[in-house]
Amino acid sequence: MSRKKRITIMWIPHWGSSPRNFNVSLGLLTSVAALVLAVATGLGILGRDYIHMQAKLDDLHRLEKVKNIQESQLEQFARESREMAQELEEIKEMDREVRELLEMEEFQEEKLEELEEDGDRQVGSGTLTSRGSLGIQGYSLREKEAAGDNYNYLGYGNQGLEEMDSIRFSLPSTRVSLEELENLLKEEKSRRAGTPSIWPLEGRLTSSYGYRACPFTGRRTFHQGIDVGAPRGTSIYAAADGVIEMARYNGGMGKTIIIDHPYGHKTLYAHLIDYKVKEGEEVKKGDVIGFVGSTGFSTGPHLHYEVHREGEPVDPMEYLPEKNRES
Amino acid sequence: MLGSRKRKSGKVDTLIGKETEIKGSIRASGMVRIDGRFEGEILTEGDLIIGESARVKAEVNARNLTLAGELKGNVELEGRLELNSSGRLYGDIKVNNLVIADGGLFKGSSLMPGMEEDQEQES
Repeated sequence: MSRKKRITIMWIPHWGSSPRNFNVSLGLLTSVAALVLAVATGLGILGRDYIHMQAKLDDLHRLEKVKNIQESQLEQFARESREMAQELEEIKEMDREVRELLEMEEFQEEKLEELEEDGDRQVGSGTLTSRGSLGIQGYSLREKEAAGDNYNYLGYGNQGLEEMDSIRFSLPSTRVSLEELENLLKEEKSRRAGTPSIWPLEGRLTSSYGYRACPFTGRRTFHQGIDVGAPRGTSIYAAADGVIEMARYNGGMGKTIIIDHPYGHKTLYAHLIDYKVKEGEEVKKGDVIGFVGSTGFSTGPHLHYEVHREGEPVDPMEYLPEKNRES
Repeated sequence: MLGSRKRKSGKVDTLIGKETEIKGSIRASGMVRIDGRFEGEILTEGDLIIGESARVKAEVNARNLTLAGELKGNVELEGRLELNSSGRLYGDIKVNNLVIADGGLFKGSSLMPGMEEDQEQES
């Protein structure tokens, strides 16, 4: 045996062709065997990785499907958000229109400025909440713009998120605005209810507001109200909400009722035959307060009706519905 | 061959190399392959392969025989004889199964004991 160990590998066919000899050193054979083993091991690892990857790929396909579904959901969500935002905008517009109708623009502008400040304050918490729920942390609005690409992977979701942000931004102010409007309307309603605006009775206008010849003396005198002729006992209605300030005999005016209304008006009803209310009683617009008579200086059954604004007598015609005016 | 019942005949355990010349008698239980020169008698329970470069002059008794070289002598097999295209056989045979490839040469008489009536073939 030589210094180097050598072996012969023989190829012996079980058929006719000639055998072959391979004479190799054991070291080389060992090296080759080691190499083969290494390659086999490597292939094994690769194969295992491949199988692993194949499994991952299945996961990926499934996730892709899920992602597609979610994307379409997000798209729908974004669309709905846009619609919501649009509707909100329409509501705001209506709010503005109603305010204009109420002729309260100045008031409205003041309010809107306040509301926008409120809205700004709301944005912070609102957007933070929405990000939290989608697992994006620590982006402020500016960072969000800067981060751009990172943020865009949300695709449609991003749009929807912005819409939702703007809705969140707008909702509190819209709500406050509408509440304000509600209050305004309530106020307006009570103002209207508290302002004389109806005929206190059905009858014929016999004498207008202003200078006229006194029915008794014939002298030119100032007539502080209007006279409406009507049969004795005709019901007299309160011209607006208010409190009965007076319901008693009052010299030449005979039996007289004065109603104090909440917005600086007073109405006076004179020459009544009888009262239906007492002093200090609250009445609503249209409540029956008394009946037509001819008490005091009177030439026949009629109602003398006066309207005072801030203590001064004014033409009651200004506080009567036009369509019922008679001349 | 691979379907053999006896496992020891499935692999070559006797090899007479190309440059070897032997005279005598071989008695083996496994597969025998001859590539050199041999003169004498071969008796094996396994298969016999006679390679392309072999020149054999012997009486053969084996299970199967694959012949690619030259064989002079009588052959008796349990199984089959395969004569390759380079094979040359001079002698009488007694086999159950015979295959001669295109170009194979056989000169002798043939007996197939599996058949009821003896048959003789000459070429």
